Amino acid sequence: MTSPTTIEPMYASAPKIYPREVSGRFARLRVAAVWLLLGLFYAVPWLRWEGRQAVLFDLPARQFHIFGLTFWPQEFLFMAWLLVLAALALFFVTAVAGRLWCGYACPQTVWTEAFIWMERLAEGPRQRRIKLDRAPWNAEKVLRKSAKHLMWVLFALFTGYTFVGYFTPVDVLAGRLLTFGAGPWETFWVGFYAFATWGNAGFLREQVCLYMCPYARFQSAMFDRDTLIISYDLERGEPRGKRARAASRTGLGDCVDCTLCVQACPTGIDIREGLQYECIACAACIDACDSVMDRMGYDRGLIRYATQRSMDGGESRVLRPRTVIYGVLLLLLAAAFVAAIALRSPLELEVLRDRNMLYQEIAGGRIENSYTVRLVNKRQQPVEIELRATGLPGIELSGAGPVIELGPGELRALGVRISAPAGAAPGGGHEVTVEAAVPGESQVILGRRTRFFLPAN
Amino acid sequence: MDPGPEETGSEIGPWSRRRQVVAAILWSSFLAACAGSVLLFGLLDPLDVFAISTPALPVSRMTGYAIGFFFLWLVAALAAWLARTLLARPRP
Repeated sequence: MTSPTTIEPMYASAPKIYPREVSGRFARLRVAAVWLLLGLFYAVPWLRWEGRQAVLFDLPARQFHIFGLTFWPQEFLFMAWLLVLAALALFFVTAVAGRLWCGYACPQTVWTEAFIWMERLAEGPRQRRIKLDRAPWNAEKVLRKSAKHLMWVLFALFTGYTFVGYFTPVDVLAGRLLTFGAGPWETFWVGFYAFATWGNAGFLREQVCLYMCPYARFQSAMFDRDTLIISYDLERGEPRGKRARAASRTGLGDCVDCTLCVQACPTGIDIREGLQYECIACAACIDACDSVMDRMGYDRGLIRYATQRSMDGGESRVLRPRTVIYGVLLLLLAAAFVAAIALRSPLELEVLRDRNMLYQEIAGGRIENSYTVRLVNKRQQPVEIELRATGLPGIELSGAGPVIELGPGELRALGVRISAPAGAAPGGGHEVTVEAAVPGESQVILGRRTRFFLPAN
Repeated sequence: MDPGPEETGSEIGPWSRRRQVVAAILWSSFLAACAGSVLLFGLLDPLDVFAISTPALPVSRMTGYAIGFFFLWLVAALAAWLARTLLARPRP
């Protein structure tokens, strides 16, 4: 790590990067992506669906609601499946079009863009920001810096609140936070996420991509000569050099060496040195260079999205074994996912032990445990079911009534009691099964295991 | 693939080696803890765990999730730190 004689400083090194603001096709595309993705992030918790929050990962109740679908913990395979699908989609897009994810969709990029926008609002464009940072502390500097940090902190807190709003009802949370009545964990996670947003988007920025992003290190495994990357046309640009007018070049290439591409780069690299792992493919250098080419009257595209093969004079192929395999896998898994969701069990049954009391002795030398049974009819037709308990001799379930009628899509929580003779089994916890069955018949629709406690004899 | 600073002896970018190591350990273990929490609590209800371990204590699910997450983070960070220590080369 460090030699005994030198102690390396923790926070001294990284020179601050002041990315120059650019305008152009790709900058507009990114701003559109920022609005769309951040808009979705902040708006989705407020959507309603059949009287409840449309997207709610209700951790306290262990249920995930996504519009009309409800997932229980035992269906978490679907969530894992969804993550695999997302990863495959990322591989596929990367193989075809390079790091589109990084430039336009990664939360790090999107929030950094929003934070830089606030920074510009408070401190002005690039040159003004550099000057301000070098200037001694005076009233203006204090004012501008505090304005920036105030915006950052408020935005970060709102982001943290929205994040927690995916896990606990967002409107209720707002009321609780505003009256300082939120639970300790809610408050903690709002602060945690706000802190992470503020730190990552306000301060760490491109350093997250350089040092912390695993994807940046894996990408070379997904890249090949037909992958779209940001490329500088060496052939056309070199030898680079400054010139007075477009016509007055003598033996010079198209690159006027204005270094705008370097100034615009959020990770501070020079794209003219070729593809580097630091490049997040944001295309800011393309916009910067195109604007200069336009002014000079040269053709656009000295820096452009291109494949290695096309840069070498070949013909790029989108269809190739890598993309075909990723694409086919993606389609198969997606189709299987949709089918699995459609063919899910028509009934949902969850059994929760009441934690207030381990067991209770009742008349007839029997021992009783209490449970909450949650039933969901996922179909659009009413259904009749009967609840039974199995797993111990003489076990009985009571409190639910002989037949339970569930309307279409109805969710019902029932308090039920399971009892068994005191001597049915040795003391301690036993596994029993609560079954939802067709009334009067032996056909079991669904069973859920739970624990039943007996006293030691 | 880039052989990395350990092999070339050079730093990636302007961060100090020490800072890179700390960030890599904390961040990789954080990601592992996130994935681990999803798997763990997909299969396990914290209330069930409390019911058989500390039934007398009134602990909520949220507390269980938080304890589980930070515990996993800590364990993963220890593993990452250990791996890093084992891989470190003695200075010439």
